[in-house]
Amino acid sequence: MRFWKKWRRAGISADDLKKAEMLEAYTCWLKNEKLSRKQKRLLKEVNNFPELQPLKQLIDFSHYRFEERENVQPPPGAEQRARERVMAEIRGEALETDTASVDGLELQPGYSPQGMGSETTEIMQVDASLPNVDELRKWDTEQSTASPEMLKRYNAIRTLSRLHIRFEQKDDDVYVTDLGSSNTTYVDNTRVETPTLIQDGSTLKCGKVSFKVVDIERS
Amino acid sequence: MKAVQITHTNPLALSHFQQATLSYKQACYVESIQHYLAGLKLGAAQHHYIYADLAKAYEMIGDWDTALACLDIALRLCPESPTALRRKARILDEKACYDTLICLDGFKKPPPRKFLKQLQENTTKFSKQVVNSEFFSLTCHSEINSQTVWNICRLIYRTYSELGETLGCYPVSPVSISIENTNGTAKSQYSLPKWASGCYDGSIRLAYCTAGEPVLSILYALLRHEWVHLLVHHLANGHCPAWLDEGLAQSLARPMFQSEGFELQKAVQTERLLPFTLLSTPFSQLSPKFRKLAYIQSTAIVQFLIQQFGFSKIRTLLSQLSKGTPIETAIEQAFKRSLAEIPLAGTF
Repeated sequence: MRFWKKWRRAGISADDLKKAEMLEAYTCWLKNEKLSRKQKRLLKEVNNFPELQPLKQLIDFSHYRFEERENVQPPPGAEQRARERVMAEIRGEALETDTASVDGLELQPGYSPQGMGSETTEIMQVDASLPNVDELRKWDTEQSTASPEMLKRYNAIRTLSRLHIRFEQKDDDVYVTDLGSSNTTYVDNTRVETPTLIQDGSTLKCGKVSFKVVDIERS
Repeated sequence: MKAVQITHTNPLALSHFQQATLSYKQACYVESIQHYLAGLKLGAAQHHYIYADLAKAYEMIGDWDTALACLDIALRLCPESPTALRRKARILDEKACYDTLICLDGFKKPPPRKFLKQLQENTTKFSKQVVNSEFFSLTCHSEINSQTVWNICRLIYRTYSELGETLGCYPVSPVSISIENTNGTAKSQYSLPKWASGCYDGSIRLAYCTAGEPVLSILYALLRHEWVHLLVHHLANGHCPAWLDEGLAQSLARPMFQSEGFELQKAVQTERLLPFTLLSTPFSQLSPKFRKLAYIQSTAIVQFLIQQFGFSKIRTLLSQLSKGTPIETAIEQAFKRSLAEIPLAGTF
């Protein structure tokens, strides 16, 4: 907000300049800076100008939003645009937002692709007759070329039950209990039928999914 | 694979399925669902592929739970169907990714009275809902309930704060955001390509397609994507190559899906990775075959850059670009590496 002084010689009307100085005084007061006698006088007059209220709010907003973000770099030309905006508002001119182009460069629209599904995945085209088994098989084969690894992983995950195992800590030991899962649990290739002790390095196998115990942190 | 042998089907049901596929191809997913359901009501309930495609239509409107229920029926009819299995895996992953974005419990608080009053005052005869704030101006072109509008405003504020802090830049003037439900209208009428759900071209435009309220987590990801475009445009003064711009937008919008990771892995294995020259072209100009890979590859490259060098260096890079520095030089100055040393598949 220290830029008003530079404008003294720029042919700005005395009224506009006074309003700008009032806002500068208000900014200094907000930032707890030492005020000159003139600034104190100007500060008392701020409330007599209702047209300055939106700008005061803007200053409040900037101050509280940015006060502890000294490292935040404003975008190039931001100061200039902020100055123009403040002056346009003081003069009561309509504000034109200048977001469409920067430095005369044509803005290339940026698009979000659809967040779901896959654009390249086609649904089954239903024709006048229903698809026969070969057509269906072809449809399924075309679709399945995408990710065999994913299918493999999914098939493995399907062998997990919703409530598969429970870990319990007794003193310094950790035990694992199978909660009646459909595809059972093994600790180091031994089926878990009663609470079984696990240790660092043990291999836990739930259905087709295997886990290795890396480190047991004892509380 | 054991497909179900089809013996006979009601001709009216068949015509509904034909309509459903047509509507799906025009991105009118709600209409497509209605035709699938009408067809299923008339018969043909034993066709697994109808349920698998109905699930896909539900997936496209963000109704993952119903999509999964449809896939369960498809899998009961044909337990080994690779399509149904793959779709189920993908939808579970998508659901989990979007669920991590926002906690819906925090969005149940009713809007304050002052907000409701402002919303009422700004509603015009075209049933537009307008919210003006100090840093955004939101226009809902379709009827959305006030609770959802309030939640969207909260998400805009969150986007403003989080992305502003990450990229060290906040918009100077209020950002114009418009939201429209494309249900029943072709997306071209909304000047968005069929494959896109959002656009930043000076203002942010978001589209969704549902029979009711928009899905907040999807809208949030779209908003974050377009907000990044806005900030990058200001930070780089419009000189950002498409791969960096889209990569940053995707990386900051939502986590990468597993299916996307697999697609990239496949492109690496088959040596189909796109070069930087192609990745620098606006993605809207790429053919659909390359476009999806371009988005995924750009995300992977940018994630690699973020992991290796952090956001401060990314900001330095954007600042170099804003001065008109060519991307090759800007990368050397910011990362002390040449563009050729940046892997085309990121960490994959």
